[in-house]
Amino acid sequence: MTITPEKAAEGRRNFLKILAGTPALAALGVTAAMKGPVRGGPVRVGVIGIGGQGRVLLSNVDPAFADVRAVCDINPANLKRADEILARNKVAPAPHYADWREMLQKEDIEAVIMAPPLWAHADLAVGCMEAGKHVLCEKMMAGDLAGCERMRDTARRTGRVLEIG
Amino acid sequence: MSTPQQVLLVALRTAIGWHFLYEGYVKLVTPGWGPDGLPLAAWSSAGYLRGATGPFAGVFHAIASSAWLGTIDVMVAVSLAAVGAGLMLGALTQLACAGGMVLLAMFYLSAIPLDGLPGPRLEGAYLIGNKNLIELAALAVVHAFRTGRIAGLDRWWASSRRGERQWQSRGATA
Repeated sequence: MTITPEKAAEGRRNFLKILAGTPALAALGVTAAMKGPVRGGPVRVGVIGIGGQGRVLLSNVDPAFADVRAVCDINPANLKRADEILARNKVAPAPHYADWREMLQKEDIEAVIMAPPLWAHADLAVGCMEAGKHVLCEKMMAGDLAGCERMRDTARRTGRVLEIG
Repeated sequence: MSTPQQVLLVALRTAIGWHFLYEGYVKLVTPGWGPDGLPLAAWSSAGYLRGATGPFAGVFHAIASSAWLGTIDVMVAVSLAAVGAGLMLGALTQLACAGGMVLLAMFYLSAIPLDGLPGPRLEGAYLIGNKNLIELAALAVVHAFRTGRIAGLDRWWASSRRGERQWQSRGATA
């Protein structure tokens, strides 16, 4: 079969017309991936300190955005209250820990929500960030200026997100 | 039809397609995360349906309180994305146009602008005509001109079917 230059040109034109929408779809698709929302799934979190304020934080965890994988407190009564809160929020119960280091080692979590006593904020937040976890720490930030600076410096050095509030 | 007319019709189809596709995409990926890291709540048609006005408001209110609202939400999002992809790629274009027109007709009928006043969630004032109606009309034009034959995957399917028919007719005459 002989393909004349005219036939070849017609074939090329036809091919381009067939794929006319593809470049637009690719370009706009890339733009959407960069600028638009992404699924990502909920953040896997552990909660340290289930006292009064810790329970408030735990109660306000939206399951669409955060998946509570573990709860940690030295007081067993507080861990029981955490179970009740999770049940009330219709989410699966989370394993209990009394030692936050053990929780970080055993659980596959990305971030920590913490509301321990103020004197423990700096040590716990720094330890969690050193372990590669993002931290949402209950206010106030720390008991003294040195603790605040230690938390800030660790966040900068490790590249983890430290949020106080 | 002249080349500029064909190009503009396909451009119109592509623009409408992208609007549909992105609307569907956003509905399917939420709950999710914005590029700034902020959470985006899950989309639901419930608020839209509950706020329906006009002569068909009762029907839409009933849908809003029905047990299959979750299924309807998924169907709307998937339909929007499918129609958008079809229009952009020129694949099953006539079907995509028809599907898009049905969706737009439902969106229009659920909130026919009859008061003609600027509202808190509107950037202008609309009386009878609104953006849904205009997009519906534009899609009707795209449908009427069978733009899948001008450009897109439908053109390939049409030409391959034509080639097959020619091959069969040659075989029959040989």
